[in-house]
Amino acid sequence: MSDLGILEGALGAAVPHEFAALSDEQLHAFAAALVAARSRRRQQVQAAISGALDLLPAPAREAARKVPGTA
Amino acid sequence: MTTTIGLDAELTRLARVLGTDPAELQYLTAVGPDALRQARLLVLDQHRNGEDDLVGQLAAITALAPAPVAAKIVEQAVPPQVAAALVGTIEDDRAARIASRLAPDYLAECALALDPRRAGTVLPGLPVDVLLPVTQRLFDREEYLTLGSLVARLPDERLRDLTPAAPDAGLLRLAGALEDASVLDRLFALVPDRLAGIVAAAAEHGLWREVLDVAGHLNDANRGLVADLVARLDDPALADLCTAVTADGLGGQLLDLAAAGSETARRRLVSTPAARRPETIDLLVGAAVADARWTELLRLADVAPVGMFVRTTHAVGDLDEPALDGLIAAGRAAGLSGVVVRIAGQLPPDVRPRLAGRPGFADADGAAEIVRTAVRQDSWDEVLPLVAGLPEEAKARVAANVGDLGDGDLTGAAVAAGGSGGLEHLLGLAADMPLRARDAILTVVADPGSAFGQVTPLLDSATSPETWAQLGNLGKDLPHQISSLSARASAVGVPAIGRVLATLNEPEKVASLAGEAVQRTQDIAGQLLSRLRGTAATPPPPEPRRRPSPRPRPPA
Repeated sequence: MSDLGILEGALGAAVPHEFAALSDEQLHAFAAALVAARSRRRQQVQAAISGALDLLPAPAREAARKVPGTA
Repeated sequence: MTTTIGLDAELTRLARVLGTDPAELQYLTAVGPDALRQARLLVLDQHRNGEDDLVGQLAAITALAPAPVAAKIVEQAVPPQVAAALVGTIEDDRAARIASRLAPDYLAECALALDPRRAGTVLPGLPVDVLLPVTQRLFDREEYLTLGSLVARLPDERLRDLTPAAPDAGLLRLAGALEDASVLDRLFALVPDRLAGIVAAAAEHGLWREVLDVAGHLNDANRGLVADLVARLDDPALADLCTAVTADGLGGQLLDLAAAGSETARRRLVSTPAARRPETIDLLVGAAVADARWTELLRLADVAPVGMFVRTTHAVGDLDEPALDGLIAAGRAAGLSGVVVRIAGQLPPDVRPRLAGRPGFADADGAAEIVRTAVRQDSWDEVLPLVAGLPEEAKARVAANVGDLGDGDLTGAAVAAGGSGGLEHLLGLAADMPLRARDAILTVVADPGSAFGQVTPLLDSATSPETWAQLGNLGKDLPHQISSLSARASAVGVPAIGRVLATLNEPEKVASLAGEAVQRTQDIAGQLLSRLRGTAATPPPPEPRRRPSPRPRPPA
């Protein structure tokens, strides 16, 4: 896989052609930043779900347990 | 915006989406702002697709509580950047009810993380009393990038409600940070009463780069308004502007702005002491030449002081032929051909043909413009030498246009020509003019006092044989003019010439005079006679230039 391909893999889409002007090192750095950001985002949302569940009133919390993925 | 400001803004927006510092992404500047913007939107799409399941769960959980309770849960458990992801997942009405109960500071944080493409459905539904404090906080925090991403999603009436939250300088910075520069003119129209304040704030805070950047994205009319306001600033403020332009190499932007102004504004902007500095002039002229901004250059040259006009002339003299053609075409399209004519008139004689000899310079329209320029600006002294250097067919077109002038304009041309040493050029043109025009010109040449009272004589004892010969030829079908010229020659102390001229009304005497003149080859009357008869009896002095064959004369 080319270095531009690595970036496209991290982004999950074709990147604008202007990115071909970047060096291999820069492409790798940007791909790493994308992966780290995506991972961080998922962790944040998961934490938010936990916190929201804790704050729901008891009856609603029981109902929330039935939401797929929250059990 | 595709400027340096736009590049910085896009880098910052991308860094915010990635949760990193813009400095960490400096290596991406090489791809340019447009590619950075595309990449940011792709990242936002990826985040959305990658967390759809989790955000859906979060939305479902909050949906189990009434809006006031859900608002409390969101504020306590959901980070603003995650809450921003809920927009578009929760029904817009419910999202608006929840948002209305969130603290302005929290909402401001949400705004920083909001995907602007998803904001359009929920923002217009939020009441002004919710949006106004959030807007205020974003301005207080100088979050112009966020504001610049979101204003395009708001309808005009809502934007108008929110502009009081913005200070003058803040509005300018917001304008410079708009994600979609096409919104600028819409925003501009909403704050007509703020424009003067915005320009004054720019002067106070030295925000000239922002002013020029924003002005560069406005339509011509609005850019002209900005130029007019800038031109009303005092000299120190305009000096700051010129200094900033010089330091940052913003000559092209200043050229665009200044050229958009009214004539009064343009005159002021190019005449202020700082604009007269050679480095400022060179920056403006250099930018025009580098980017072929001919219309802008001509609009400034039209009102420029001598220094700038001369530098413009020098720059034009160095242009290659395609650039000269572009200059001529731009002048024609913008109604500024007269400026091109003036520039050509100021070029050194050896350089002038490079411009004046271009095909478009003196075609049918160009020839008419040359004459209009001479009449309108009373610049016959510049125009006649210029015309003398034109190709013969172009010269004939100019002559035809001059010949169509009224007697008053022809008289003015003759007096100006006589006073500036250009009489020979005018007489050369007159050979191709109709009888009426020749009559008018000869009247004033023979007796300027007939038109203007006491004026400097145009003919005297130093008038050359060539000039007398031209006059004689022009008057051949006008006996009364020959008589006047003959009398004039005698009056100024060259009676021999007067006698020769008089023979033009009595052709039978020419032969005897010819014999007399041939024997007196140094006599200027002899030279005149041989010129009039087209003989080579006497050695003629060097011809200053060649003349075309005279047109067939109309019947007397």
